[in-house]
Amino acid sequence: MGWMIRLRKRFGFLFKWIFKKDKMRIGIYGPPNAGKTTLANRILRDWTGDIMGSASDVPHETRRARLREGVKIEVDGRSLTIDIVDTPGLATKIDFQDFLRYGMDEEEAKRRAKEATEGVIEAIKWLDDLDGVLLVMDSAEDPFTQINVTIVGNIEARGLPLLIAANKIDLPNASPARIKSAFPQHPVVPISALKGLNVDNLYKMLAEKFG
Amino acid sequence: MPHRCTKCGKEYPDGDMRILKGCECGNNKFLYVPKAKAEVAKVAEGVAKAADAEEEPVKRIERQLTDMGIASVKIIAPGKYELNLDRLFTSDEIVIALQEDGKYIIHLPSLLKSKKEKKGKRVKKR
Repeated sequence: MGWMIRLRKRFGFLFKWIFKKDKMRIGIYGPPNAGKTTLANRILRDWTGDIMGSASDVPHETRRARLREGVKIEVDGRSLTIDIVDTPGLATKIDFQDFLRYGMDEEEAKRRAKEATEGVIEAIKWLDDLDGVLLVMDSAEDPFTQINVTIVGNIEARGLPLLIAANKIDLPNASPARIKSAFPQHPVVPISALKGLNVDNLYKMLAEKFG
Repeated sequence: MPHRCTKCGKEYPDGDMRILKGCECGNNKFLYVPKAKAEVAKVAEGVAKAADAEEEPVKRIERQLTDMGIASVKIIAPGKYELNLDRLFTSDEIVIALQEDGKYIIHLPSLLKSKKEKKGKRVKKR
């Protein structure tokens, strides 16, 4: 077996080149309200003129995974075609009472909580069909949470390439450096999906990481 | 607190009458602990506490991960759910715990469906 590993190490780049996929399927993951749909909308608006879905301040606005195929990104003369999967926010606790303060009635809030729970399961099951993950974190929040640590650990265990987008850098208390120090083993790109700040750098990193 | 009982380890400050009368445990032998050593011990304790505080988030997260046991989803009440992300990430089957009375539901379709079937159902094209 040793010779196979050595061979793969030596000629891995050739192997990768020959069996390279013509397009990558990238999943946008993260906790609720990190800005996943806003980022998906930003990418689609920039490269297709379309949007993925509605984003709002109410947590768990996205409760079903959405797929958009064949998004062509061109950076520095390099072209990359990706399928984008916008996933529901991953959470460990979902309580309908959290939704009541957004003016929902109890029935609607309970339905939202149930759909959000199903959404978390759906998001995780999608990982089987992805070639890479774009993890969105809110840079105004503490990055060292159970959700972030679990996502990063499991994506590493699956061997999927991972790029972290430190979102919401337009907020005054944003600290993308905190995310960098929490996950130094992965590339972190500070962005504001809402304002479009530094997204060109994100596209460059996407082409480098997934191209 | 430079006077430490050699039997029970209790410490008494300088001039405490119990050093003459004997410790509460009945022992009357004390070890004199120089001030410098006591300060070093205090600093060391402080450093150890700081190290614990640094490790706390990791320990906290690990503890939370094992809290739910075999359940991947726990239904606390209608509209209130707890999700065991680590379990959902690592295993295909979905075990639903009902409140906290030891009742579980194992979602058999999640175990029995073929990968192709699952994939087909998940893809929701725009």
